[in-house]
Amino acid sequence: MGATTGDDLELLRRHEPIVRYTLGETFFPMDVTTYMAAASLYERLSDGTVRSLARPGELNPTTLSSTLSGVTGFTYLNVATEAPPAELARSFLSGQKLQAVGFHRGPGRLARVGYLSRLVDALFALSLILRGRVPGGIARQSAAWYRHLEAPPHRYYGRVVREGGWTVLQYWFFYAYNDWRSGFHGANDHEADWEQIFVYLSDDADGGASPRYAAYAQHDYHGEALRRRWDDVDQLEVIDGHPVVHAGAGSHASYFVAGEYLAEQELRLPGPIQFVAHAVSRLLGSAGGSAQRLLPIAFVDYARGDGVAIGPGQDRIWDPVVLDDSQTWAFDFRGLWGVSVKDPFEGEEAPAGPVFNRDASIRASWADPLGFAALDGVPPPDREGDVLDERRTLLEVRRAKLAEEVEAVGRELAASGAELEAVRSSSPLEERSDQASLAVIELRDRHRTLRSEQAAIDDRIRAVDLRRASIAEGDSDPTAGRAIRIAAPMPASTLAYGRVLELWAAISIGLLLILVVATLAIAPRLGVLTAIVLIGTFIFIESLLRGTAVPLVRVTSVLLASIAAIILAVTFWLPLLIAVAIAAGGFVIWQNVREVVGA
Amino acid sequence: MSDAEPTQVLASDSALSTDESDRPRFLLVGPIFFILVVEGTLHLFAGLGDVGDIAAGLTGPGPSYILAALNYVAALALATGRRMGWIVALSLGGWNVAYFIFLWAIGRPAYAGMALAVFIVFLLNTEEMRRAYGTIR
Repeated sequence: MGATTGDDLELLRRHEPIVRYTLGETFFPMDVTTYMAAASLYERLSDGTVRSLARPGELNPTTLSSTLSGVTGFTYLNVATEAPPAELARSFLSGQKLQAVGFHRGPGRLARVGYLSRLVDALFALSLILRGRVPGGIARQSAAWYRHLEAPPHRYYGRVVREGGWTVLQYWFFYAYNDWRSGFHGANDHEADWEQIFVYLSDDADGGASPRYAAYAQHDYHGEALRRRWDDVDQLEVIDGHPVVHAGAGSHASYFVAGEYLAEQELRLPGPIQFVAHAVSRLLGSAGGSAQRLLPIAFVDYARGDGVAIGPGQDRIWDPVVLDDSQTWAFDFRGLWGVSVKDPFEGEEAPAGPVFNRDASIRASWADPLGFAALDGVPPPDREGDVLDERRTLLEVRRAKLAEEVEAVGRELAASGAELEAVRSSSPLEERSDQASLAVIELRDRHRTLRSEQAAIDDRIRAVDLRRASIAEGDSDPTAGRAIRIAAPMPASTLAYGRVLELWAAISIGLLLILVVATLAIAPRLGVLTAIVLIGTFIFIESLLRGTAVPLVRVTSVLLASIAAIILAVTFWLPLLIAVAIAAGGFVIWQNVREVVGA
Repeated sequence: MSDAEPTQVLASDSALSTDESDRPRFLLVGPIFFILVVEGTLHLFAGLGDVGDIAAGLTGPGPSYILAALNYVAALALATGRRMGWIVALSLGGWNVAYFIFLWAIGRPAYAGMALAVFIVFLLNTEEMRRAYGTIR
């Protein structure tokens, strides 16, 4: 990390974001010192035992560093603990809710996926019991603790990195809790949450620096998909130089556009099954249809931006701190910032700090902020022309070398060809002729390769010249217009699920399981047939509610017909083989006769 | 179910019948029309008691009459280029295939009928037919 200057804070403040939350959000960015003061620090030893290193009230950034000295085990902080049952019961009875008042659930996520995914979803929910989850009481205790803090300042931790001609402004936000699952029907809960957004600046002609891109951390997206051009008014709202962030309710994931986002997770199937499933999916898919996930588990991330807003010109403002070497806690504490529940999938595991991953390795976005948004391969606009000129010079040198090589090999090829003809006409010895022929073939291949490379270099030089001309005309972004998959809120049309379908989606999978099991128990002889009929009926009812009865009929019919075709092929393989052979023979005869007659 | 295209078709009232230019070739519709009519007639006779029919055997002549009527309706609607004809014909095709698989499973295979049913389903599922009857765009 370079030395911090007073300009860094000013620069950070100039483009600090405006973060808009969804109505009902409980936790907002806070300073880590307040959190630390309320936290206990634990160490999990290699034998699995946990020992307390510090109790609430003992930790601050200085004591944290000293407490950690000599500690080699896995460490984590913990503020909220499971409340005693009596206290939990009291809070339930008094109607105390996890979410703040105002949040309304959107159309059910279950209505957006099919039966199989719903079944997988149910298994996913059950798996939380087995694989370790943050107890619901901790969410409640965290919310209670956070609400009782006396107007905590809304802090971000800013960092300025100058690299490759870019100036990167990193904004880190710390939340006491992620209550996406318990508060907003999402995928996970975990104590403590770190989120980040980036603003990328490059130098202007007048010596100043202007923002070119903003990049937000989002679920399921990486690299180029995380960034937006500063002047892209459709994708990025900027108010007086401040980018607007729409934070997901509970998850705090950052979105450029307000809306409800479907975060999908796919069940991972074994390789061969995945291959077959995709093949079947392609067979049944419509012409030109896009590939879809087979078993998506859907979660909705509500980033409506209709609640609290923090930032310049808003009701609440930032209280920033520059994340430099003086913030020793960031570099000394490699553990988790919240309780560790040993979740193997890590969804319920608390995060590490801004510098580290959970395994104590350095976080990629900290080590390589340009690579985070795939800008490591994009020169800043003020340098692009020079970079291209350098590249063009190199290409021209290569082209000149190639031209010499092509000429030399061409001369050698012509000479060898002439020699070969001479040998063929004068020498009766076939062996000598063959050797000369081989030499010519090798030279010809070499010559062809060099010519291809020459053509490729010419193409690259032409592309560089075109880009150079675009820059001269004022086009500052080489990536503009390139189609990439980016996060987009669900369109309004997909939110128009009827109440009947939502209710059906909520009860159908449980009802089907009960009916199938009951049928198998009551009438085992007819059980299998009845179960098939029941499943078919449920699928058909759902397709009617969704308006997809026609494709269902088509897919079912084609599947059945394929099975029947296999039965027929296996039963009549010999006559079928004879018929195919006769048809093929007839076709060949017909083609040849047509050619003869036509000629 | 992932295929969303036909949903758009259902929502559209403009494609109740196909345009002249979109009509499928007679080579495709002709055999299906013929098979549907023959099947309908067989179901009709089965209902009257002249020919054995699994549907009549299981539940009486009622289902046979219904199947006969559906076959005739599908044949007529297909011939006049109506999407409904394609849907009913495919539904009948699927039903028939399931029925023949069932017969095969219980040891009473009827391979000729199975082959005809498979033929109809695959023919109706061709892109040309689906485009012609407005179930693909």
